[in-house]
Amino acid sequence: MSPCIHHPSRPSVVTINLQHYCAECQQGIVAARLRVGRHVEPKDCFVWYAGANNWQPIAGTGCAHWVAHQRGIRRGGTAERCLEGYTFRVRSLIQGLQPVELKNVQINDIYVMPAMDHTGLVVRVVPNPLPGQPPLITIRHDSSNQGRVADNDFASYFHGQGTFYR
Amino acid sequence: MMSSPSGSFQRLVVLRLAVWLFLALLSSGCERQAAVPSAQQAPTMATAATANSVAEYIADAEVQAETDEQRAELRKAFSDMLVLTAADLQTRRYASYDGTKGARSLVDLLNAHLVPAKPQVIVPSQFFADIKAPAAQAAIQKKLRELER
Repeated sequence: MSPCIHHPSRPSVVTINLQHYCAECQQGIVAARLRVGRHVEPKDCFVWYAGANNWQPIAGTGCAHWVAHQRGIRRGGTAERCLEGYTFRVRSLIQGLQPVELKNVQINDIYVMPAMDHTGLVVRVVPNPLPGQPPLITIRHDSSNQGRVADNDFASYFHGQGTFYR
Repeated sequence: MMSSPSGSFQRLVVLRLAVWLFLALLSSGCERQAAVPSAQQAPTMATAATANSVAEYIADAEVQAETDEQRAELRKAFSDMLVLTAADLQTRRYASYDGTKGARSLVDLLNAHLVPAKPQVIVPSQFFADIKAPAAQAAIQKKLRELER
């Protein structure tokens, strides 16, 4: 039996993302999951170990976490990834990616707001019927404001501002 | 030349006394060393004693916010942390994600929009005890400047 990653003197009872956890940690994880914000998706892995037998929901809105799960992004150290190993910081999410010009945006590009404090995923790109105008882009994002994963227009909801990364 | 039995006995007593004295001095030295922290231990203890939970949470935290209203509420909270007393801050309420007024405490607001550099949780009693310390105020000012950019 492998020891618990946080309590080496205790045997593990559950393995998540190749990490072993003891019975006390398992209880802490289950309890913390119940306190994860209603808009956060997925919820089960949005918890972290804050030390001293204390499991809590991860801080922040969870926007980058949702995108990371959709795109399979596991960048960053253990302090930057959820229980399943996916990135939950915006800056870590786009590390190593290149900005894309608006006219070249494609489905699955990552959208980041100008302050780099919110992110989403491009799920629809339609040529603009008006000549010379940028394409009509739909962003899917874990929206704390709307309380769910929502689809919104780049031009209206996000005021046509922000950067796309690939 | 042969020594007398009484001379041998005296030498044995002196030797035993010397060994006893040596052991006593050794033991006393060890105790003293254990009571005084080693040079390696000292910085850890000092760090623990001077760490500020507010500064630790805020410094290098990533701000996550979706709307201008959420950002404005966060700026308001950081301004409040610079001017209000710890007692006032404990009762202050802030808007929820969707703008519902007075829905969240300061701790809930920070937890919802700030991702600290390492996994940690805000303990309210410690947080409000630390909030007026110079280290906390400096970290708050720095983050507020970032939010105002």
